Amino acid sequence: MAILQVENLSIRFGGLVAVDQVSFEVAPDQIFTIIGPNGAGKTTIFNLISRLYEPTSGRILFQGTDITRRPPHQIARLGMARTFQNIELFEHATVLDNVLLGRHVHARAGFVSQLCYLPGLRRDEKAFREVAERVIGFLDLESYRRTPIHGLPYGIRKNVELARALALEPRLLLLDEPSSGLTPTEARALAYRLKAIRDRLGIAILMVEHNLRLVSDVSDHVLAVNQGRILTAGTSDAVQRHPDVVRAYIGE
Amino acid sequence: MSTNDLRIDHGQDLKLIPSRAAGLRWALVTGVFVALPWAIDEYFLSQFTFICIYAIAGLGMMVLLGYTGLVSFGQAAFLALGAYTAGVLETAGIPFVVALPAAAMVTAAAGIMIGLPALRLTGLFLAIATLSFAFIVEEVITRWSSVTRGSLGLIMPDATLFGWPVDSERKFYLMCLGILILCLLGVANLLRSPIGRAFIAIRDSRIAAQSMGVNLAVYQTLSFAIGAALTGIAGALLAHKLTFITPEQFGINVSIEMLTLVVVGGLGSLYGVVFGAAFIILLPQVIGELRGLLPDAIANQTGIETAFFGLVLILFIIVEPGGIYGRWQSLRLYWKEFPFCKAGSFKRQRSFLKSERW
Amino acid sequence: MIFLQQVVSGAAIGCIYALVALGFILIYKATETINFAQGDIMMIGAYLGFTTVDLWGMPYWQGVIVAVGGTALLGVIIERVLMRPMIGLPAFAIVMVTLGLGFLLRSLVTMVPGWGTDSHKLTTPYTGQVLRLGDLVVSQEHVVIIAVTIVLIAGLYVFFRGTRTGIAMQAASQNQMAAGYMGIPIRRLSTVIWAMSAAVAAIAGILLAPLTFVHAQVGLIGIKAFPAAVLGGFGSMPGAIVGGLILGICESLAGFYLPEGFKDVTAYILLLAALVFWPQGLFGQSVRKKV
Repeated sequence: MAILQVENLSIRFGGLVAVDQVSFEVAPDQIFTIIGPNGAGKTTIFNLISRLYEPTSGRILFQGTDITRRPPHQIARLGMARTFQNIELFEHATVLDNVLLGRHVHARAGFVSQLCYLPGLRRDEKAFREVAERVIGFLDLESYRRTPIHGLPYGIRKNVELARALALEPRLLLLDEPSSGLTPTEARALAYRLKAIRDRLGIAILMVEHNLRLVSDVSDHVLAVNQGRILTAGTSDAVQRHPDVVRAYIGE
Repeated sequence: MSTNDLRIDHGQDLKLIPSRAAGLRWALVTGVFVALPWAIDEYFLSQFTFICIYAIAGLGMMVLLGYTGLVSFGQAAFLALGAYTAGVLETAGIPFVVALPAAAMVTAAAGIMIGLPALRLTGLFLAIATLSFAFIVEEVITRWSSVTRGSLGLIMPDATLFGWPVDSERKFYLMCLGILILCLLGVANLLRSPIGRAFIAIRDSRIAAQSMGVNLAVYQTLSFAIGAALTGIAGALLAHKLTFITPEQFGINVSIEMLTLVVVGGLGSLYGVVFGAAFIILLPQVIGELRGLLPDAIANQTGIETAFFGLVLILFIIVEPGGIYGRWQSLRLYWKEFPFCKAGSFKRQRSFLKSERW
Repeated sequence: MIFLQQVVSGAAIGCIYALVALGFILIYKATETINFAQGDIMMIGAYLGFTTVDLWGMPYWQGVIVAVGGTALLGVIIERVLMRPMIGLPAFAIVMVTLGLGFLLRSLVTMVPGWGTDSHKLTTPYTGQVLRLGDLVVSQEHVVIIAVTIVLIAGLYVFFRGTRTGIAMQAASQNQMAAGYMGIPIRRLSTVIWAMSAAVAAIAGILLAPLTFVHAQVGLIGIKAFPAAVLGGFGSMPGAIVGGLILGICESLAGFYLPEGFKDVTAYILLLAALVFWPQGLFGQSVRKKV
């Protein structure tokens, strides 16, 4: 069964239809990429799925549950994590703190337990740190563990955001332009990691991307959109060669 | 690099006091503060009592503003609610040990009342809303004179702890110190737990916090409840210290004092709470001493203290926005890195204005 | 008839709130800074008016112009000395500085010889007179306040819509860096805005003086300007005016028809109601972060 089903999703901002009757499905073991020129509505689709925007019509089903009207924090609890185009990290906290926040949905201790730092909380915190360390190791962030975010270079910040999302142990990862701002070497490392996430961790990935080489390298399925509407879908090669897609990118 | 920096087990990371040496240092500091009543005269001890009380109130403000990023201009209202709840209950015969938690709960409830509708409000609007709340509370307390005796004022009976009367400055100071330490420990625990991390997440990026599963409604309201409760406790203690309370004592100036306390002390640090409280209480004393040095014409002016206060506040913001704690950290870093410190590490980050309005 | 009287006197006070709120909004629109010392600048304007007209004996209108000019100069000095070093620093720090400034101004006025801690009377050529419109008796002070406010608002409207400086200011307030690259002198504009805002505050202070006398706590009326600005949707100039008027009129009616004590809290109750039901204010702008 598909892990994510989007049915006829639309949103209008005033008179502008930003997303128009978009439908697609993501399988639980897929890397699914959405491509399209700037302003095509890709991030808007993301924001709709992660519930930061309210759709005007349509349905979103995650693991069979209708999440169309659920608030964003519940989506995380259900197992969907995301990264942001412009990086939304907690600037004044350390890398470790940011990653630990990914474990928030797994926190069990009550208020009193946290106020008095009871053994139950202590156990939880140790378990959190073990998961956090594994994720930090996976993304080569060990030496930055205790550094506050606001001094870090861009590439490291992207990794921290990814680490935070992974720490949540999601079933579906939403990545908004994960390769933007990365050097070609970093982009190759990213490709390796994305495939490892899919194969070793069993997490499905839905991503928006501009780097077409990366798209071809990792994607199982590609969806092309323009002006809020679907142009075509299929394998990376088929989509990139489709005349509508070529026209959208290069112009008439 | 000392062995403190090497961790071999997550448990080491979780400890509040990281090493034996640090534990010894803390014991020493605590010992000094506990022994204080026997070392200094009653007037100065009284000042330290005020510092403890303001530190507790400042802790409430720090939780709200420093850790959760919520601008509350209405701390005076919570202080007043705490003071008057304790006052009204105790004059009716209810013992202090019940009145104090009751004051905390009443103010926490008020905090929740403000926190829930405040969800949609950001920064400036939240500040103005809390300011309005403070004015309304002050007016209600003044008008409800059947209970609060309004502007005539309320006389506080002596506090008793389980039958043991707290009737000397020394006992009162030790009680306030004890409560301060408990509150500091409680907040320190919360800060290294999921709740504390959620607060910081809300402060730094609400959107990311939501996306990571933080229920803004719950945590923002919780922050208000905790911040208010702490301030309420301080209010109850303040009522006893002043022995006589009137609504005018809890005006907007107090809210501004609280704001100054956390900013000058250092936003986002527990040390900052104590530094800031010391600053607020001791500055007027310092100015009083300095008066002797100024030429008569200036020194005799009534407005000199407020003028100085304003001046110091402005200087602090411009020169050291990290507050006293920030300056302390800079000095420690300088000392540690000497002579390898880079000029750049102490420079402030500037960003151009890009409006988020549309 | 009494109702109408209350409305008119409420509208007059509302105009004062509107002017102070307008001064706020000017600075906020240009620099996204909240100036908590706005009320205290208004107070300085009133004191300067008192000085020129009563202490130095200048004719009223001349004295007013000098006083307003002097306050505008104060605005420039504040901008140069305090606000310039703060460009680029977080908004919160800037707000704290204005708070400190407010303290400073309030205490410094009590130290000036001739001002001190007493309340003073500002002599005007129109105090004590009344205007009769049919059955309606309106005090001359109220009429002058309303009239001057209307003229001032018209002037500002023309300035912001019509002149290049006004449009440049709008650009600078939306994206400082881009405006700078387009050749807009953002620092100089900042100075002009502060001067204008101070001048508007001074006018408000001088208009208010016959009603409240001149003393160091007059600035605290400025705190009521916040609810006015918020009611109108913070960031909108017509909104500030409408907000101020609504506030003034409601306050006046509350003072007359409701039990004691309600008048003082009307502003804050209105504000909280507005924030709960219309968080954007009546003419407000949406604020949403684009992710």
